[in-house]
Amino acid sequence: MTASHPRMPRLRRRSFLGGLGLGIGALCLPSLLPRGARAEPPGPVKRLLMLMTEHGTVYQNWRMRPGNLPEDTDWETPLGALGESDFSEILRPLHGYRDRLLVLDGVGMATGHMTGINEHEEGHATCLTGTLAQPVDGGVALAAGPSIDQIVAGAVAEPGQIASLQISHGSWAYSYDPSGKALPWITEPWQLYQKLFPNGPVDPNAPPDDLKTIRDRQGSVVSLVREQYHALAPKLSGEDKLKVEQHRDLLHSLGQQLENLANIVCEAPPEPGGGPPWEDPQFYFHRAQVFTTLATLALSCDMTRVAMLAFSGLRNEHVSAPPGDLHNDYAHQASTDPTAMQVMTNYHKIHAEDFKNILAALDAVPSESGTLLDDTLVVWANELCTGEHSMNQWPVVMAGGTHHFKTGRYVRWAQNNIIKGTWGDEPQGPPHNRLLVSIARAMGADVDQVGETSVTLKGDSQLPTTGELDRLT
Amino acid sequence: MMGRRKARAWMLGGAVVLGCSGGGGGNDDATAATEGTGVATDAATTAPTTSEGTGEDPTEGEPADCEGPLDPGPAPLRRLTHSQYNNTVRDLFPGVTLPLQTIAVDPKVNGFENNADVQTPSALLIEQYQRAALEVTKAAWASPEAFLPCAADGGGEPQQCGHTFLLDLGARAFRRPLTADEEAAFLGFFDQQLAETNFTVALQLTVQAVLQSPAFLYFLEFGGEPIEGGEAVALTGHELAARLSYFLWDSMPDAQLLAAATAGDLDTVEGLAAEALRMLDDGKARGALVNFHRQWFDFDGVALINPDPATYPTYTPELRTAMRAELDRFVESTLFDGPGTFASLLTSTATDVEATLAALYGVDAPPPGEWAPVSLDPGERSGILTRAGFLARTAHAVHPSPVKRGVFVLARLLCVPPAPPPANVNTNPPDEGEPGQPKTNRERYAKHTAQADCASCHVTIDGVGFGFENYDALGRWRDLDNGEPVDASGALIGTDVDGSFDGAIELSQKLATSTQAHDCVVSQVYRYALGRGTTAADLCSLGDLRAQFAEASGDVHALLLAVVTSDAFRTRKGAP
Repeated sequence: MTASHPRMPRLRRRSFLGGLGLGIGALCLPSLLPRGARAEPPGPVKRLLMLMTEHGTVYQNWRMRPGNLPEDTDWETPLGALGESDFSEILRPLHGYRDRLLVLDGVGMATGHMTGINEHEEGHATCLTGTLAQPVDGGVALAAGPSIDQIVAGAVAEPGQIASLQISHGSWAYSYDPSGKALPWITEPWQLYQKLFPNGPVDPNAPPDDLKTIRDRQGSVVSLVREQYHALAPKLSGEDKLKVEQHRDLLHSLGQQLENLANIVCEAPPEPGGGPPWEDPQFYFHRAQVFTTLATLALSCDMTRVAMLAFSGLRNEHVSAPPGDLHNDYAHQASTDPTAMQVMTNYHKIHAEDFKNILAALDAVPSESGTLLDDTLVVWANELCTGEHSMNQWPVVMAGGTHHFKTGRYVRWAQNNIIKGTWGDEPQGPPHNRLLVSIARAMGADVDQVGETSVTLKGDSQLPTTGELDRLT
Repeated sequence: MMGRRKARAWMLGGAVVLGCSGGGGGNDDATAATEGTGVATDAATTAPTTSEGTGEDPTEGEPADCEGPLDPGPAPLRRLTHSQYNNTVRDLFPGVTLPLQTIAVDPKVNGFENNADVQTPSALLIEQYQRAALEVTKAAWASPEAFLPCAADGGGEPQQCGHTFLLDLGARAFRRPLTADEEAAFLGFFDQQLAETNFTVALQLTVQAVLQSPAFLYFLEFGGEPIEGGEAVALTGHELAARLSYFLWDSMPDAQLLAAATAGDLDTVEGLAAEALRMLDDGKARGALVNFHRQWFDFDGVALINPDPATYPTYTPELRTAMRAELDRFVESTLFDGPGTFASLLTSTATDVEATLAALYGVDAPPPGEWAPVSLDPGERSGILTRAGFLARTAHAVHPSPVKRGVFVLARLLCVPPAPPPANVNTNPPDEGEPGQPKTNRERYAKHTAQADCASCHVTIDGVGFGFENYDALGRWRDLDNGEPVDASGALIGTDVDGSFDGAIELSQKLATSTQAHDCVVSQVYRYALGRGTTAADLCSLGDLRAQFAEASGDVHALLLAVVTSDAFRTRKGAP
């Protein structure tokens, strides 16, 4: 970890976890250290945790322009020198982690301008895949290739690990499989808990019973089932065959996962309780905290190396909004109407607090080379760029991953690429595909493109979208 | 194999029979609710958009030559939905109470959760099946005497008992007898586990394998006899039994249906229809048809309403729960105990209420905690589009949304989904209350139609949606909006029932007589029955079914029968 980082005192983590009503705070912290049966590979383990939120941002209150730095040139500024009040209103909650942050201002989602469908669909499909959204008649658009979390999972997950976690408060997908199909997600704290700790807290002194024998033999059940899929596949063709083969291969992974999870030493906390009811504003925060804590636990115990958290569901009472629909009445005019701007600024500030909580949880887990935050690349991004459905100046904050990226910086790109969009010309910085390539390569995936390889500029020339994004390291 | 013309001729007779039996009126028996709809892990209903679809319907237009070789359209490999999974394990273990299992809901297409094109296996889903199998057997073995043919420990002949049980359960779970390979694999596995553990453990493990097998989770169809003159093959009796029971019951075939399949009774349209008629009389058909409407009308969206408490101080979570339950009850009682027509879904004033809903509708309340049938004021209510659940689901926190209401009617009832708004359009209506600003909800939304680039779509959308202005965001009747008289006049544009109307009651009545709306119902049922979207190859089948639905005066049971006896339902293209 960097020297100037204000290390969170251990007590802070205790109080953070203890506030969950989970009882995780009662755990001994050393049990959170990775101590799986597997030998650690040389060098720090590569991990990726993504936080995705909705409705773009309020760009005016997200961006930073210390010293009135210009709009029309590329520049960067160190974050360490900035005081809390120098931070933008939305990013201010992250000031304590400024040396661990890499704020990216000006990257564009050019591929989101290409299909002319509803931008929420377009954004979800393209933001983490870099592909063109594929409209579904009567349904939500799909992508044309895998999302970055799946690309990274393919590179870093070891046999027996949960390849990746998809956790969401609801809404639409961000994770897509190699064919661009949307991956389902976990929405309930107890589902996530059961996935990580299928046997719950185990009493080592309990005598073996039939249920334990049955659980111990799940591998043989899965093996028998897999043979059924294997025998069936040659009798099918086309998409049907692919489905069955995919099912078969996933069973293979599940068999390994069952075996491996049983061997991982990761103290199971008590199962999270029901939490507040849906009507209670605390409903959101309870779930956000449980998701954050359990995802951190899964990463720290090396059950998985990739986690996707999709947070949504904030309501008027959370953001001091007058009566009205957050989406239609506020997000859609967040750049122009003063009330809407403040409401949506409040909205994104809460997600900044969510991001801070994630960083705090990771940073409270010691690792061999610092803390889990140093070994984990944490990325906060959005389905859109602004509430008005813009695809320009994607608000991205990266943190941690200090072995890969040069943090403690705010990096700005001028909007010099004029994209030929479906609805008109769109000035942008570098295409976001290149950021996805950088993330993939930092995580050890040997790729030079994510999604499209070029986009069309005004005048019909092509802008390549391959290769790493410069200025990150 | 019966040809298309013969099947249709049979249906004409069938419809008459149904027309006579569909009457009645009382809904005393309207207590059953949907069962086993599972716990959704997919919350796509929160999707932050008001638009859907692409504005195109591939099944519009004139069909090709329908006298040519039979083309039943694509038949992609389908998988049990989350509700079918739960219903099936319930029926596999009669007499046992099983907890609902969490199975991911597949992405919705046209609202339906069973579209094969997006039923992709995922790591989470495969893991859920594994966990569910464990939980199901664990719960079932709490009372093994309910289903085991021997003592819980296997009795004197544990191996024989295990084999007997597994062959029976396997045939029911796979909806056909086990193949020789399957029999060897599952019985061999059981024997091995029995040797290493005990009867209870070995049997549960083997049942868990059955519950994760492709023959259980997927609808495997290889077909039998080729149809003369085309690419299609007839489905086998067992394959057809599976299609039939999952369409009409949302669950597995029962013993009688499997016996009919074995006996070849389903190979004829008459035999198929006889089974379908029997099944429609079974209570499971009620839950299944309600489940179809739940998806078509997005009943689940009711759970996500969030009315502004300052504007709606009487709103409670109990009211929300009641709104949701009323929709189930209304569909069931209208289609099974009432007139049974699509038109009656749009015009009936009969419904069930409990205390909170009675207050909302202004009718006498039943005793606390009870539901009772009532007749709503025909001057205020007409069918499902005027029920609180639908109206609240298509509203924002304070104001109702003519856009959501209009888009729903156009997309789901008339099958003409409007195109989404173009990029960067400010879809926000202007503020109220400021000098010179609009006072009513309608006036706020009128800005849509005042701007040229919005008007092209919103004249059509709002023309429908404004008809609902007599209902606030909770679905309560109102004569005044913000102190001003409500203007609920609207207009239908681009439909077969074009023209102006005043209020949702007139709108519902127009839709109830619309051929286009009836044709749309056929498309929706067809998509649901076959678990896929419609293509140009379906034009002939749809044309037939639309004609039959019209001849049956919009009787929904008649439509279900027409679908199951159609070529598209009974056949598939050659090798899968």
